[in-house]
Amino acid sequence: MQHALEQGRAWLTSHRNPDGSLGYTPGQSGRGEPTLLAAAAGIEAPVAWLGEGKLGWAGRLAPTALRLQPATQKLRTREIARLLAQRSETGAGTGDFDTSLAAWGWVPGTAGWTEPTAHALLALRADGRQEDLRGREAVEFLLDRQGADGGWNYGNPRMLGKDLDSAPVATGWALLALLGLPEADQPCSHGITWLEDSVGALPTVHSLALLTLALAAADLESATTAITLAGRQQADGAWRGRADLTALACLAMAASLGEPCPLLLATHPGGRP
Amino acid sequence: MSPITRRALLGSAAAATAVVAGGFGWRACPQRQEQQRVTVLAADSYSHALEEVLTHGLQHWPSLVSRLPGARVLLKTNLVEHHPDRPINTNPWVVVAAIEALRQLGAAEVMVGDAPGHRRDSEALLLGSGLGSLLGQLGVRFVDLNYDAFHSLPLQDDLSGLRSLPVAATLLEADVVISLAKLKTHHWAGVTLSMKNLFGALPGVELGWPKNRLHWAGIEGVTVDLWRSIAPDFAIVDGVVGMQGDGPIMGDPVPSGFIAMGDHLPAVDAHCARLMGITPERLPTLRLARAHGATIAASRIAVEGDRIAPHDFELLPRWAWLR
Repeated sequence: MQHALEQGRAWLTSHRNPDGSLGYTPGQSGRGEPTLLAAAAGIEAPVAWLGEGKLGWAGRLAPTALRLQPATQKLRTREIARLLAQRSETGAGTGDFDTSLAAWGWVPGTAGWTEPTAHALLALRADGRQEDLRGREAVEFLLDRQGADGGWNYGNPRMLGKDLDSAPVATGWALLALLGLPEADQPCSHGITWLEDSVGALPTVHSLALLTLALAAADLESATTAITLAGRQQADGAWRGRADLTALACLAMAASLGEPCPLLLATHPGGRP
Repeated sequence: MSPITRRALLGSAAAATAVVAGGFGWRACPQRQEQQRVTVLAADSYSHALEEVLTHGLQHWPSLVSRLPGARVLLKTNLVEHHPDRPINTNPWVVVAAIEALRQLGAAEVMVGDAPGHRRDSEALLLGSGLGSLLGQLGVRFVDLNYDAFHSLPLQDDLSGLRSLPVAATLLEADVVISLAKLKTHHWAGVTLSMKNLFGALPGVELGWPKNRLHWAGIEGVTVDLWRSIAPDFAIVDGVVGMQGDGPIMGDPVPSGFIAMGDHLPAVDAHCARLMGITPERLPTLRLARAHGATIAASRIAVEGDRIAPHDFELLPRWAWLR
């Protein structure tokens, strides 16, 4: 696993753009999500590029992903201020779920969704703001959006009276955001069970990485899934040729090996599981 | 031909058409719809015989066939979620048949792509649906348009008010774009066919999962904007087994037994709607498209191929007025 982690980091390093950023795939111009996840995975953060203000929704990952890098304090403070200024559109509140709950959308002027809200909650927790109003709103929103099967999907657990299926990626992020909060103990326990079953049935790179991270964040055995994930690494060191997935896989390896993992900071303030 | 040049050409052509049409008051008289054709072929099941059906169908379209030799073709499939009992996606065997037919007709490269609107993990969709395995056997690349580079495409007419939208570069740079859609009802749009399928041309990394900005802007306006602005070359609709009721995810399968195709997407969708027992003139998207140059009137669509009897799809009560 250590070798896979080193190979993954080497791939990320070698595929950086001249400005230090990473696209989702080699040759693509820099994007916030892969660049920040790679920084979280131990690749040098391109501070100047990150400071250009082009991160979009991915900026909400910055306070968590860059947590262990003191030189990024100014950037993290800026992104916390940005996310606090954002608020999703809300509705009347009745129906299949509570649309009156404010959260975070992917883009301004839209409804709240699972993954952007999970990113925001992670950032707020990393900044010690989980008890602030916005932190409480994020928790309430995520707990409301949990599906009947125990997982989360993009954010509509029920539609026109029917329960919708959950999805591993959204579930993984919701768990990372909620784990360690007392009011989320039971929902997280159900979520992990659903995620393990789901990934067991269809072990993709993306879902294996997030399951490994969630297990590590919950202080559960994560080596088995991490080893399976390592087995999916390409010969060149990448996972599926994608920088975001390679970074997530590296983060999962790091977490499983007990290395500092910024995404676990909310539950493990020292960065180690 | 350079990719940008190709699309620039499409833009110029569309503008020229608009000028000519405006001069004759075409848009002010939506009843004067241009004559269009749709080919419909019987197909009772998903099998290897579909390749023959697709090849036979495409032969009705010499203008498309003449462009295929040496072309890079993108099949924009409909890949949303996977459930073994619900026909949510374009069936993998239809995708395979289209690939084989296009190769046989001389396409240099056939790619399959989509930007699934609910799921970030396309590997799960490819594995679960079986499409990934079949594409692997054929040596065909699946392009996850959610993570593709993109170009900001100005919107013709801008009915949505969004002015421009990020469209996947692979799709814009293909020589030929085919919307390879599924025959389904849709709880917010009434139906989803070859035009609504174009939502999957837009990268999720720009718009999120789901692409909620498009819903807030209005599904019908965005759909017509995408049809007019992307200007796909062709549409093929998998109507072998459709979805009725609470589509596009939670509905029930309904054997419909056909493949429909054509180069004017609104006409293809209008005829598919009729085969679903729906009056296309009542569908908000097609009504809006008609006001912007589309042909949807039965009297202006020549239907070729096999005779398929309409079958009334179950509709949610909110859409019962579409009959």
